[in-house]
Amino acid sequence: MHIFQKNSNIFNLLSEGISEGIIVVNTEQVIVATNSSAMEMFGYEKDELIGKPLDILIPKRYHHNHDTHVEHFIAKSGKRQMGQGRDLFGICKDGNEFPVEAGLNPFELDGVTYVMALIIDITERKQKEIELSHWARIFNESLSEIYVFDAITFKFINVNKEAQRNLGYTIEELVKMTPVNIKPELSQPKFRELIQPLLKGKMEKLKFETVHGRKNGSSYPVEVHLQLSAIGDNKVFVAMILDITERKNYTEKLEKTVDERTKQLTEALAVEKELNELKTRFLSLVSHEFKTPLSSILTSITLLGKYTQTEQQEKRDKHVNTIKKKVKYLDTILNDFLSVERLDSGKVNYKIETFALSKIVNEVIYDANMLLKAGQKIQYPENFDDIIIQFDEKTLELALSNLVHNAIKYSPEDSVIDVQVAIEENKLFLKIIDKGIGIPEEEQKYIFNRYFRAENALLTQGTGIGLNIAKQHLENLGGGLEFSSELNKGSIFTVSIPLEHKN
Amino acid sequence: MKTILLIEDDRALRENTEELLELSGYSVMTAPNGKLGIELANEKIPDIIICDIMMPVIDGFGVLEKISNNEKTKQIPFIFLSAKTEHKEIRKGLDLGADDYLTKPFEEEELISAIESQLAKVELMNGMHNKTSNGHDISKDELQTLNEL
Repeated sequence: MHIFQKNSNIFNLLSEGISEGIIVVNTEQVIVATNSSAMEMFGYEKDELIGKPLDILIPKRYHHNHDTHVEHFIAKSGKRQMGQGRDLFGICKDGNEFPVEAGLNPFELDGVTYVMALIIDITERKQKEIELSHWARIFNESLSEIYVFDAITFKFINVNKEAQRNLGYTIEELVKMTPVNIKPELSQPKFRELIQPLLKGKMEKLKFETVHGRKNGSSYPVEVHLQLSAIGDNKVFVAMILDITERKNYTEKLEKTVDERTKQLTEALAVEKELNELKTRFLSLVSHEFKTPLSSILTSITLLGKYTQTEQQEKRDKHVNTIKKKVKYLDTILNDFLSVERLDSGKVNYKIETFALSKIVNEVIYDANMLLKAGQKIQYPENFDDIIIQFDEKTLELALSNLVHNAIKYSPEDSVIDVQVAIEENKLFLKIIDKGIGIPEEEQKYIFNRYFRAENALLTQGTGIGLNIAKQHLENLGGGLEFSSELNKGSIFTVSIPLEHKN
Repeated sequence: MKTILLIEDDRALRENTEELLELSGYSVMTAPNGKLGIELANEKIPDIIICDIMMPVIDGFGVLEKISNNEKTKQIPFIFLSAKTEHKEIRKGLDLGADDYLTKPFEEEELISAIESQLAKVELMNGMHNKTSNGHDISKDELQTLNEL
């Protein structure tokens, strides 16, 4: 010990100038010299440690290990860093432990071997290391993709595991690449332009959506959060990337659903609007359809009141006849309207009966004769009394009278309306052929729509109901209604009725 | 005897109206559609025209337009007789230059009085024309009658 005291001036000079703690022990591990940094580090007063065993500075759990370590070390007599491969701790006077790094230097002085330990308190460094490894773990294990790339060359500096996994590139491959290489939608100039506001400090963060291209050629939609940062003096960009495939799918599905619903609503609205317009048009037609026959009835009654003399019986008969005819006509339109209501509410009661076809045909034609225009004629077969059918009489009458009335209404004076009867393959066909105005080709597809009136029929009275209900009723009973027509040439309407009716 | 042209596509109503008017002392000619009506008007120059609106070939509005654009027929009083009873339809008819608008179903009296007042108006106009051309002023009474029409 006196050796160190003897040389204390030199030792002090050397040891007090450095921030590392210095502790010198002899081969018995007894402390023979310290510097003030070491005192401060371990919390002892000056020279308080001299003559104390080294173990006083080492936590108990390391004592055994430490001895062998030091012995082994001294035996090897090499200069080395202590605690490699494991953590070393020192213990303060107050019992607090702290991490240290120790370098051991054996030397001889006056034939005696000593070991000088240079000790550094690495509490702060350790803390930083822990923090760093914590951040590194977060960086690496984040399920978001994280990319760090140089702000000038754009080359990737670091890319986390998730990013490597999703892209299919290794870090070795990625450090040779730039973000543009994995963003097929972005060109280098475009990317440069995009990040300018960040580089110029005009924006702190940039968020955008694009697509990432994988090594295998596939791609996925991403949301990019880009920020400028720095590693030392080097400016770098940190990009957090979210794979938004699922969100995109969901959004797309949602958008598709919204689109579909919107379309359905628009269509429903259009249908509703069209129906309303049809109803308005229909009501105006109805009023017209009723008011003209009512006018005839009213004028006929007025005239009846004027013909009071016995010899005017012929005139009276004529007006009574007109009134009957018009009342019948009104009744027919009213029945059409009611038929529509019944068809819509499903309250139709058909009565299947066996009857002679000629009975209905004759009735319809007889009634229709009153409506004929000047010179018009209805031609129909004479000998079909033997055709007996099973059908609903009212339906057949409704269909036939509608068709014959239409033929009269839409053909000129002096024209012939032909009614033909034919039987083919258990079906009865009734054809009503006119030489009238015909139906424009482009409107033929709508002709059975309820309330529909063809362009060239608008100035003629009518409700647009007749064909619609006739077809529906016929079809309800297994029959049918078809037509062919040519503009300004005429139309042929064909009623079909099954001959072997079930039940 | 005053001549009336009746244009109406419904046969029964056409015949009945014709009969009613004849019984009231008018000479009546009839047409079943607008086209024939225009031809008759141009040919016979009736004293008054009574016309339906919804008709085949040419409708009532079309008839009025043709009649008004023809120098020979434009002065003839024109009365619509229609089942279209909505206000806007009546407005349309009058805006096109019809002198009156009767709605179906109509009473005999309405029809006759509409015809008479139109004929009276024409007569007054003609008288006025004669007087004014003679240098006379229209009297207050005459102006009153004209306004009432």
